Amino acid sequence: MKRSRLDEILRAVFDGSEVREVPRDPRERWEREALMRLKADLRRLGQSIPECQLSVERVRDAIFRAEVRERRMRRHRALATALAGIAVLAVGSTVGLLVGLPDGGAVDRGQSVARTEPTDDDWILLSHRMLDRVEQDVHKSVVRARGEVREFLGFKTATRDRIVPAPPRPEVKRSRLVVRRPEVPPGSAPVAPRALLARVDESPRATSLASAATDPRPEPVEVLREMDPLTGAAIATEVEHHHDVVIGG
Amino acid sequence: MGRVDSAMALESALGGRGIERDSDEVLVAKAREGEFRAFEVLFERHRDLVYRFAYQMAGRRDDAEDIVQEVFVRAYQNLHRYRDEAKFTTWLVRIAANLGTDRARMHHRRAHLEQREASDALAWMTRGEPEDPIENLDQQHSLEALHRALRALPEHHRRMIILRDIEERDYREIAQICRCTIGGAKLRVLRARRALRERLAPYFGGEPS
Repeated sequence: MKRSRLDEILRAVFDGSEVREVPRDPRERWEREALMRLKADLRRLGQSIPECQLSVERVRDAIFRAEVRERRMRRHRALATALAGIAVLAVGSTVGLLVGLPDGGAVDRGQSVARTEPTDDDWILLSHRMLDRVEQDVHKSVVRARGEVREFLGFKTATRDRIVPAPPRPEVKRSRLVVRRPEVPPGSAPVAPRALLARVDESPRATSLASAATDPRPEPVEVLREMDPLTGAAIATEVEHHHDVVIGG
Repeated sequence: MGRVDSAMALESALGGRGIERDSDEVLVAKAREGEFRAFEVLFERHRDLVYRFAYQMAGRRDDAEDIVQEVFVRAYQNLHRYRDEAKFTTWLVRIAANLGTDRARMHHRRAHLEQREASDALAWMTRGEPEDPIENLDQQHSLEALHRALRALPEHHRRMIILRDIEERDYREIAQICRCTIGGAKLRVLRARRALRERLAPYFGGEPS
């Protein structure tokens, strides 16, 4: 029997649809009768079911237990999520530390990395600039102080124009000049300040200022004459006496 | 005081009677609001329907009762998911069908053993002539053999036979339970009947009279 024919008989028997042809084949007829018996048996099968003994109390208890279980599961899930988060954070921070190490391997050795640290050349340049600035400030202060001292003393004073920083200077011409102070009788000359400010060069004014010192002791003063390499001005340095002589000019 | 008590008793009695008269949709709405009594009424109303289906699927009373219990537990937990588009009973049977599928997968091995038993029973059925009056009188034995043959079917075929030919549900409801079209439901039922018929081939293979 063809499958389509069998399907037709099945539909006719179970769903009550019409069959195109009345089955004349005895096998088809027998098939149809067997299917009708099967249908009746299936209906009977649905009626022979034992009674359900499930009680309301049992279902209520089951629902209660399921809700308790669900709450517990939810709590465990939340705890597991929190633990997983902590673990992920720990792993992440560990990996970050490992990657951040110098030899951690995350940074390719051939890769160029921008750095903000100054190089040695930068340090040298910066120190030079700072020294220049300090030098300028000191110079300004000295000049200002010199003007104040001059005003205080009432006459022009000689002082060093510039404080030369530490770097080695080029060779300067030096000459030695010995100035002997003249002897002055006490009480005869007008009182001059004890500090003698002298520009030690060979100008007649400076010589006269130096000779006008009022110190009664006729001690010789040894002065080193030299040339300032930066300004070209003549400067003097007292060697044997560190006071009573102001260097500069 | 006595009058108040009697009024409250009467009110509660009327209320209790009222809740039992409520439709499924109203009871579902009350159960969603936390009124457990409404859900109990739903359970009492549809317990047998679900049990019949579960019994046909499982074949044993204790298994069927376990399925029914699980169906109502899941229904209570998922009441917020139920939509009024389908009938509440359809929704319950759908849950039962899904549970039956799960159980069928779990007890696949046991089903194989039962299938062998069913084959033996069918062999017994085909010993004599189909119209033999002695064997036709043994309806109980015949039904038992049919029941075994049905349980030996694959779960998706068995579900279709139960829904259509045992429970006599219409194709529209079957389509809702199986989440398919009506045409798809008809096709599935036809395939299931064909499979049952092939399994009962010895029963149909006798010579026509």
